[in-house]
Amino acid sequence: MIGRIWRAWRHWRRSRPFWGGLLILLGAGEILFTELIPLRVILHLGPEGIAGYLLPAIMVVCGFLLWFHPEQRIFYSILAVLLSLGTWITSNLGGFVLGLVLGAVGASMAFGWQPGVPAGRPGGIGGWMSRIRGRAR
Amino acid sequence: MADEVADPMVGRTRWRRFLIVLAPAYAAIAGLIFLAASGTLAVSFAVSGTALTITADSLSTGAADGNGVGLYQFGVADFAGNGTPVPQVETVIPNATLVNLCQSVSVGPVTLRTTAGTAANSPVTASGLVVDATSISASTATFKGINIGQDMGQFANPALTEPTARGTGPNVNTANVPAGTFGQTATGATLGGLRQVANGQTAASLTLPGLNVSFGAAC
Repeated sequence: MIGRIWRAWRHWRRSRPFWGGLLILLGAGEILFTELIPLRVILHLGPEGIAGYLLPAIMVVCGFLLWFHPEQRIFYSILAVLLSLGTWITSNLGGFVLGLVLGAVGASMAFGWQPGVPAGRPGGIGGWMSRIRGRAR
Repeated sequence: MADEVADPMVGRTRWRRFLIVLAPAYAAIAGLIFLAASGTLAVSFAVSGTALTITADSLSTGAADGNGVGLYQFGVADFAGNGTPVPQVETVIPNATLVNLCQSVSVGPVTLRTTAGTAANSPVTASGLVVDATSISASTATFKGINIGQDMGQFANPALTEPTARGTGPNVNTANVPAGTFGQTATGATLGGLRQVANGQTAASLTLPGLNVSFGAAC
């Protein structure tokens, strides 16, 4: 039973740019985390302040769309990399660089993801980990 | 394993394709960092933290806003996560110039330190600077046209706002500062050896010449 769930989860993961999407979500989350300011000051500021939340919020949407609509991954990943770069200006230097780097690397991984794979060589961090595990065995 | 070979949906990251996007993105990041550090590109800031410290060797206010005021200072109550009001001194500066700015934010055991404007001839410039601080100190302070006991509710261009209650999530219900809220205003001010322990800071636009972001000690 657990084996079947694990296999289904692994198949779900491998059938979409999972790790790229995850890194984008982590990056956007980190940027939002650095901005946990009471929103009233943002309203005070107007458009520039709102953009600081809007860009990472659209990054979150891109991350989820990469998971649930991987057919359009080229568009979502290029949008995500542009948004990540934009957060440098709008959102605390891209969450003090970290969120920006996570977003850009994640979006590049999602862009590089393609269906069709030689057996036993899944990509991304998962494939990399399973290769390390294979070597240890 | 055999069933996965037949499945056309299973895929993986092609690292060469990955580089097609990452290489220009890397170049763009380097360009953005260069532009910000040379003071050409203005960035915007919104930070809040339990341990946000802001120091500057000097702060001078610039052009006054529509009310003819260069600096506002008044008491507000911010709301903590559980809705408890926390008294703060809110400083609103429409335009400011800061020499040797240092900001540090602590997230758990990690302290992130941002410094800029270290050279006196290329200071940090900020517009729409709002700081909610629990403590403010300065070694020297010069005010021009200071008005202590100013009614903060009389301004309309722009009107000042304050939180009234905590809304859902990070949202906070706000209202214009009511008539009869007293604070102080100045047409201009110069503060030396400024040190603030703040719970929140925003700046609509900041130019940060000589920008340096690093892990390290608090300011």
